[in-house]
Amino acid sequence: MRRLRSRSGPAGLRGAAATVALSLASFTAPAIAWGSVTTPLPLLVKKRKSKDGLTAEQAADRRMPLQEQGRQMVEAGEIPAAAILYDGAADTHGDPILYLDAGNAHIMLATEQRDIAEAETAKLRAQTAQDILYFHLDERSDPDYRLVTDGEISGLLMRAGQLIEAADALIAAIESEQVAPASEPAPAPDEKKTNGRGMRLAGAGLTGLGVAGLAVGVTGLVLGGVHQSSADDPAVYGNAFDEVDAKGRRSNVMAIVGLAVGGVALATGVTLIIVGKRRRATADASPVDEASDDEDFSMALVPTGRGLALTGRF
Amino acid sequence: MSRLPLFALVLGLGFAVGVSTPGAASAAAAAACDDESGLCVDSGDAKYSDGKQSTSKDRKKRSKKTAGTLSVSIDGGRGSVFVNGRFVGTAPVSGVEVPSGNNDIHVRDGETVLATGVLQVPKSADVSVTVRHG
Repeated sequence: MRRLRSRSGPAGLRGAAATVALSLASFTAPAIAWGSVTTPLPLLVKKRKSKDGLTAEQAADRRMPLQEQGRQMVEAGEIPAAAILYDGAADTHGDPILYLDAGNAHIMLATEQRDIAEAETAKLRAQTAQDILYFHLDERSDPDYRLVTDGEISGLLMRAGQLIEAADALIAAIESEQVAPASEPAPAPDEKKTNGRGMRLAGAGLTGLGVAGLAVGVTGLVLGGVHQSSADDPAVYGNAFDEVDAKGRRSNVMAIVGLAVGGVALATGVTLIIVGKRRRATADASPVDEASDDEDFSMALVPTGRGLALTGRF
Repeated sequence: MSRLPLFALVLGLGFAVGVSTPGAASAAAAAACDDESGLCVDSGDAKYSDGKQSTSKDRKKRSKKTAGTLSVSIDGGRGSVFVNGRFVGTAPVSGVEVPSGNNDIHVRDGETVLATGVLQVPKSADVSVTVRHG
């Protein structure tokens, strides 16, 4: 009973007052520290250290050999290996600096290989680093588990932002590079159109028409000559003369029209064939196209049972 | 006559597609998180208290012996997941071991906090949550 009384006496009250004071100190300390006000109050609070805690210095010590190894890999040109190393280490430790190092390695790969996926990976690594860094500034982060010092955070956030910007710019550049070659095949049909095939076909047709026209013209000349000799015969007169005269005129018309049309068509056709051949020669046709062009164009006058026939293959 | 079974098959397939499509749509709608807090518990009977933070009493009560697992996915974006003040991974994360009891969960995308609060994990439960982005 005495003990109880003595505990509830003035000494007990002092103890209770001290407990309240400590409780107030521990309650207000984080808020004051958060406001960056230097105060002796936090010193009154005994900092609890968890068993698996980590300080920024310990995190730096753990990170340093990994960074050194990665640096050597990059210097040796083994960037993919460095990226794998940084990725694994960053995921294992959740270290924002290692995530940024991984991002750098991926952006080097993206630049070298012009690979959008690598650039996107670099961006994701930088974003993860940003998440962790911002969370470090949040009061909900574990105060006993620090991967970086508070003084490093703003510089690291800037580095993450620059990495994201670089990744975005690289993605845009690679996409524009990929769009340009894709649009290049479009003129291919034009090349096909301008390789002279149509000209050669038209030329061949006109040449055939010209030859036929000339044949008609020559026939007209021959018939005209025959009718002329008949008309010159003194025994032919009256209705017979008129008839021969009409035939002779028709033969003359046939000769004039045939020779004129045939000549023009032949000249045009030959010209078109020559121009078409030249265009095909200058066109950048594929080997297959060239072979087919060489094989598929030929013209010949072939004797048949009824005379000459103009044949061609296109 | 032989075309009749084929016609019936096509008709049946068409009917099946027509019936199954709204079902798939409703399943997708269920996966989306509409809760005001931005975090929806999909499975595991966990309870989420938005904006709260665990107390020292909660921390003492956490038990690793009856730990469960946590899976987090983000609907419509990206983000990183932090449990009890530490980074656990970039979403989606799955099978993260969490002690039973009240755990602090925090999901953020850069400066934007997508969800922050206390997740009460039942003993040995496999909890799956979806966080809405934006």
